[in-house]
Amino acid sequence: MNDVATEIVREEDPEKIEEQAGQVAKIDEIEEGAPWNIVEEAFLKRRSIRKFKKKQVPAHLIRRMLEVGRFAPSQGNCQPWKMVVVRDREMIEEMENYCAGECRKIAGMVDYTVHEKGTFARWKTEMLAKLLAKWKPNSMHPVPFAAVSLVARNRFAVFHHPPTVIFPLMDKRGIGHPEIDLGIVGTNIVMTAHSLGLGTCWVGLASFLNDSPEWRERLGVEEPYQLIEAISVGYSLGKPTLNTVSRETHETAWFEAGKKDLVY
Amino acid sequence: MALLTKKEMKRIPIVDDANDAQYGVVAIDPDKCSGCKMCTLICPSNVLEVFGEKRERRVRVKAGLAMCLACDNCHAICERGAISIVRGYDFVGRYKQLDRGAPTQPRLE
Repeated sequence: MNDVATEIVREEDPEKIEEQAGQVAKIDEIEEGAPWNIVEEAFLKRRSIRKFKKKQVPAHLIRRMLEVGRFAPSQGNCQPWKMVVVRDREMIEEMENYCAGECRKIAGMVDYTVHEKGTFARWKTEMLAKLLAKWKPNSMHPVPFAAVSLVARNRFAVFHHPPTVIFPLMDKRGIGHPEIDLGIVGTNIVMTAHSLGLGTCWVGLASFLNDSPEWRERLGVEEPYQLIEAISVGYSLGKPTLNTVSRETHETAWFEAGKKDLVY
Repeated sequence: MALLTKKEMKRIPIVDDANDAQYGVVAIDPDKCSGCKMCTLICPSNVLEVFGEKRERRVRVKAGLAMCLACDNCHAICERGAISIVRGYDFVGRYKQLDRGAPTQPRLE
């Protein structure tokens, strides 16, 4: 076993290794305030893309993304995922229509914002919204609530009409927290796409498909797999990565030299 | 110890009540805006619109309930640096934001 490892090391050209390392940065030489390196900048400039060009993404680029995804870290190396790729525009539109229909059903029951205050319809929908929030508090956060409402009024799309959709299915039997591993494999995919000049968007509302026996069968989602997210892929419209964005800072508890600091 | 009381955790904000919900706020510089419409196309919350004719065309936040989620995508796509977020969203009760500072560009120091 050691022989194989030694052989690999020997075969590598030391100059080439140094050159590759230098492409990112020589770790010892980074001073405070040094400009963002190419990887950092890629992360800072990745945006969620919701307007795609019609042009299909070459299949080999999708394979490249999946290939990088395959090397994502996972708990206990359990790799609790399986990919489904949909590149058929009609099928994507059917999925869009199905999920939008589900949004309309939900909005019809709980979207009180479309009713005048003081009316019975308003009172009823508000009550139902609060009940639903008790049952599914994370899904009933005001932001997805607004998204569902917009989709129901045809002012927003679920998948955003991309040429390709990737579903990273989650194996429920994954070690520890398989949702985390799905997030990491998805990040690998999304960041690879970004590095290739493609745009992506995580689509949480796609999980409606998981609750539909017809779609589960059509997409081949069988127990113990679960469809929890989708990733839309395509060429983005305009230059959505021109500037970096602002984000709120977060409190960080910093323990050092025997004391605790709060930094933002 | 908890940052929210049980009562707060049970309180679900009414999304179109200004006492319960604050949405993201964008600042638009009309001198820089050319009304190119890109930000209105990519805004995930559909809160932006263009108004005015030809050279006078500018972008503005739509009237009524504008549920901006402060993603700053409008800023990212703007070639003229005419738009950016100045405040994130926040809610009362269960969905109250905790331990946050103001929106900030990537910092090197």
